[in-house]
Amino acid sequence: MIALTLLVIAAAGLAVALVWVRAALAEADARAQDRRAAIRVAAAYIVGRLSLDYHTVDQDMQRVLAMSTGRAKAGYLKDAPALRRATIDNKAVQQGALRAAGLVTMSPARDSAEVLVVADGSIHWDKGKVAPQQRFYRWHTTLAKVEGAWRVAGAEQVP
Amino acid sequence: MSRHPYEAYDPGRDPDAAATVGHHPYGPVPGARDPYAYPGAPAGSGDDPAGNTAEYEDTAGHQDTARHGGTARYDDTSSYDDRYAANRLDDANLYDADGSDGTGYDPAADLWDEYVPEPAARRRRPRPRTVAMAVLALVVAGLAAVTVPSYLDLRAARAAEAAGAAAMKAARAYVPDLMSYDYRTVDADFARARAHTTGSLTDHYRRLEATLGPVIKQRRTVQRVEVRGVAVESAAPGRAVVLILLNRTTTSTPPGAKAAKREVATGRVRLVMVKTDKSDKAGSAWSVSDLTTLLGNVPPAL
Repeated sequence: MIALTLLVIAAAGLAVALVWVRAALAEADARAQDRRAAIRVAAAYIVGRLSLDYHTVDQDMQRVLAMSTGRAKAGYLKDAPALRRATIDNKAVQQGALRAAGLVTMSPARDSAEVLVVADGSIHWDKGKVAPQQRFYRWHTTLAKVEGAWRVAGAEQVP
Repeated sequence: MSRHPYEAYDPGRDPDAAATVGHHPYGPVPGARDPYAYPGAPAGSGDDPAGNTAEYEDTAGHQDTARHGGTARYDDTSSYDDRYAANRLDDANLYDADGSDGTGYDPAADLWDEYVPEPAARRRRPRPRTVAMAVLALVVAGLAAVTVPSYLDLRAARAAEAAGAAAMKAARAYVPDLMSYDYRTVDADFARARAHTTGSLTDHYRRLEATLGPVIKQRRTVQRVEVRGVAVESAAPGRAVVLILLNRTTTSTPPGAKAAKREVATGRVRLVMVKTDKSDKAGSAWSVSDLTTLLGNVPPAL
């Protein structure tokens, strides 16, 4: 009878443990996925900002806007007309290249995160009167969850 | 070893006892002189070998089943029941409590010849409790088989997250040591840097000391590094890739120069951090196994 009781206790204990472990594992997996997604979105956003082609400038800028929210979106929208004009006028083709990106922190609720992005850009002017230029960038970005997806809410260069 | 069941049992004279006294599979019973004395027979305790194991755990480290052979215990001439019966036949109630099914089985009669096996029918008929125990044991085994891998995954996931945080902290602390130097203390600086490294990076620092050391002294160079940002690129248990943003201030006075030349440069470094068995003076178990300056020196014009 004692053996039977012990088995019942063991079964009940394991069942509780299984439910707990599965829930904790799902949370840990979700956190890991969110970390990777935040890094991916921040990197794509910065590379997007560094990749503007005067042939496709409107789509390029739209892509950047789609990945941003809040302050970052408002700031980019404000600068957009001048940037668009300069790109077209100079027949500029700017290409960004990602060097590295990593997570600084993510909130426990998984709704905000900070990501560092290292990306370099090369700018070519169609007329070839000016030599291509290499630019090196380090960005500190803050991200927010909007409808379940990460969006860049702020992006500043690290001095 | 046939023995009259009513004969007073004396372990000292029992040829079997020589092998069992002192390490009886059920272990010594406190307060009883007879090593086979039975403190009480809970209902069902004799039904199942699993029950036996749990009930009479061997304090001397012997496996109960090793002696009683699981379900073969009824054939075992030196089984507990036999010994117990030899000692305590006057207590008839114990046999009921011990799981007698009331079919008229007389254990005392059985004991007249201990080599007579149990009736086959008794062994083959599964009892409800045995079935319940078997089913429960399967449930427990099944639950354990599902829970354990999930638990190991959870532990790995948490270890990876913890590794990222710990490696980030260590990397932030190490980078000034790894990249700062002063021509007046360059030997100690390289030794300090090397202490944070492991594997081929340690050798790399040795070569660097041999090649760069003299140049630093000759040009009287002082380099200071300020960490401007730290982030985790990826992390696994015991290993993490950490991105560092830093600013370098370098002052040097080449031979013949009238004044020192000062340069400020921005930089980014990728460190591969690994957890080692030993911890350093500051108590950190992390070492740097690789250091890459992404794209080398970044122009100060950023």
